[in-house]
Amino acid sequence: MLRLLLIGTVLTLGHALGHADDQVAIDSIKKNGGLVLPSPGRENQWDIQFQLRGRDLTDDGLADVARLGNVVELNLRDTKITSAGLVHLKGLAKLTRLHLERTNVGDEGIANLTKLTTLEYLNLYGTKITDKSLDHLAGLKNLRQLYVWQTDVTDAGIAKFKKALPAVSVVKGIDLSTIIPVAKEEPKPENDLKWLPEGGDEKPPAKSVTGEFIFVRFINERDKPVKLFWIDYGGKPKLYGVIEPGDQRRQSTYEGAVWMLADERDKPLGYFVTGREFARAIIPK
Amino acid sequence: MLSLQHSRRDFLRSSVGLAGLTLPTFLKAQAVSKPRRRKAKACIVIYTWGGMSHYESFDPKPEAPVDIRGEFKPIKTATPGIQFCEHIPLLAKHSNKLAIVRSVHHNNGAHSGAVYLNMTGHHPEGQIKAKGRKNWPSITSVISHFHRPIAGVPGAVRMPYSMYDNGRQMAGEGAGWLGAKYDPILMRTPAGEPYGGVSRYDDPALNLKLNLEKKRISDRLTLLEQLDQSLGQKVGDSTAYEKLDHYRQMAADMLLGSPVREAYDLELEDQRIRDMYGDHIGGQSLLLARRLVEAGVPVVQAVCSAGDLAGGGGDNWDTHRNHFPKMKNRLLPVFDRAVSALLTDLEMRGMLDETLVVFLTDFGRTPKVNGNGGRDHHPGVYSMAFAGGGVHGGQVYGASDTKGIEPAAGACSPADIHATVYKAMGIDHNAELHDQLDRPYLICEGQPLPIV
Repeated sequence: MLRLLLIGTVLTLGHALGHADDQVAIDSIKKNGGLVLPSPGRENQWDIQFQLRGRDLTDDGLADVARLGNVVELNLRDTKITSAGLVHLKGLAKLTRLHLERTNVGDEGIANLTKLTTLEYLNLYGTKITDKSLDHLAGLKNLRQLYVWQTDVTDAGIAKFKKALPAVSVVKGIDLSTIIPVAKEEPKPENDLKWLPEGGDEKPPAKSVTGEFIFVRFINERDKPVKLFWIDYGGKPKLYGVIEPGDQRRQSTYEGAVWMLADERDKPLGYFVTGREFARAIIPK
Repeated sequence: MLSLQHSRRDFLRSSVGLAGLTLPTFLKAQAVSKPRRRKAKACIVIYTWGGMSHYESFDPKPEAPVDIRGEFKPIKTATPGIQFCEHIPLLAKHSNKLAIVRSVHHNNGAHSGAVYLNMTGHHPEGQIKAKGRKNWPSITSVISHFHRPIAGVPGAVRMPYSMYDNGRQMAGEGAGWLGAKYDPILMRTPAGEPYGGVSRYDDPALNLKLNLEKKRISDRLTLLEQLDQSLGQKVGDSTAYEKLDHYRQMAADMLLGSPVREAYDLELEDQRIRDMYGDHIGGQSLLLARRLVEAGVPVVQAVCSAGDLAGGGGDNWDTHRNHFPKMKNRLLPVFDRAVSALLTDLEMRGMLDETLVVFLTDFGRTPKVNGNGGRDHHPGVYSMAFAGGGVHGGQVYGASDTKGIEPAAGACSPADIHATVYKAMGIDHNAELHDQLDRPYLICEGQPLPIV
């Protein structure tokens, strides 16, 4: 009986000590900007993220992660760790997802991961690895996703790796030099809108109607600035801006819109009515 | 994460009253209320404002009569048996990442009701107002409630502007009764050619390009003062300003060195990646969405069209007139390139697995092409899609009938789509949330589709 009690005490003590030890490690990880999150749906297991606030993490800081042990997800993206630091990951027997992308990790670091057989996801994009790393990973039988974009991993290396682990999806990404930007086609002005001078024979409509979206380029050929007004759907003028002498203004509008040009004292000079096509609207001298 | 009330309720439900309580059912009830294992850690909502035609996107009907099937042809995708419209050829290559749903339907043929329904998962009751605190929270607000970001990072971001119909702002994009704290932050996309049409900024939009030089941001107080000045011009009186306190604090945090500020600076991105998305506000918004997710923002919404329908004249999906040229020349090319770039980019960075991408829209378009060469509103059946975040790609859920008029199989509602999103994000779709007066609401009335 006494013996049982003793064992019980030792077990409880050990458990408590384990937790206290965990707490020290957690505090230290947090001090380095790491987030320690309970892994959803898993008891006493951790998801540790350094990629947001802990980018200054160096190799030494990884010792805390090793002390915590029960880590299922670890994100070291954009941190300052190197190959040397990965020795601390050797004992993470429950690790399923590991982010090492955009770090200075290389092949000699990856050699530390050969025993992490619980790994399902490994992100190595933007690291210094080569095909040699794939050889180190060939025994990770639970691996399903491997990311090697922007590394020196070759197609031949991937083909060899896939022979050992056919179930792994290896994502090599695209070659950025093959991206062709969309050629911009500026719609060409095909016609000029008719200038309807104030007081002339042809009157503009009293108000704008709505239609398809188009552009109009106003060009001021006067030697004085002009004020540009849109006549709204209720027939009221709304100031859009001033076009200096010789200047142009590219204006988005709709077909069936009425635009009024006025002098600096708001005295109307004339009007344009937009059509369906992109057009020039030349304000005459 | 989940409320105590919720676990107790589940507990009672699963044990059929106290009489039937045994230890195993007790343990089971406990397990139900725990956060679920999930793949998705972040969510990007792509909203095609105005109502995207299902015929000219994910559900072409080549066998239908010519007045229904329209001018475009179907093309093969990377998945045998799945066809898309010919004008989304890049996206067709990503079909293995996409779960297409071709059987969503509802009964609300107005933009205001349809946006509300698709953004909140609930039917509007009575008059809904854009900033109403009686509204149901948007899907983005709910996600941000369950996925809390680190300090200084917004829980939800939407861009590049709010949705308007002829000058009237739509309800459903805000947090409603969840409270201002969960309103997604409206952010201006800092680059890209804008969609043609009217885009309004009646809400204060966060523009981290404000003329604030780093050395001038000496302390938080000065920064807030500067923000006051630059925003005050747009917002007007100071009382309106008080309400923005949460927003100001957030803005200040971001300007003072949160990873979000860096993410916002698209100039820091590789030019070739920017080209891949396209020099368009649609493409650059999705690029920004990826960068914000990388910076720890749990959910980002991008509206892919001009912000105001303004009678359907501009570059939006409300194609009552000139449907075919507008789809072919203005809308589908931007959508195709930008969304394909996002999927490529997320995939090669290893982010697609952890990021759920959801395509939402108001409704589909009518089978018959009208006298103006357009298609009108059709909530009877329409398509949407999921990618990433643990969703199985290369599949179609449900079907519309041969003419694309109504669901022929797997009929589902916007609420079911929301339940699917919640499941992928590890959120119990039967969870309860409480409004500011502590009244409980069941977040979703739908059932998850079997695609996650």
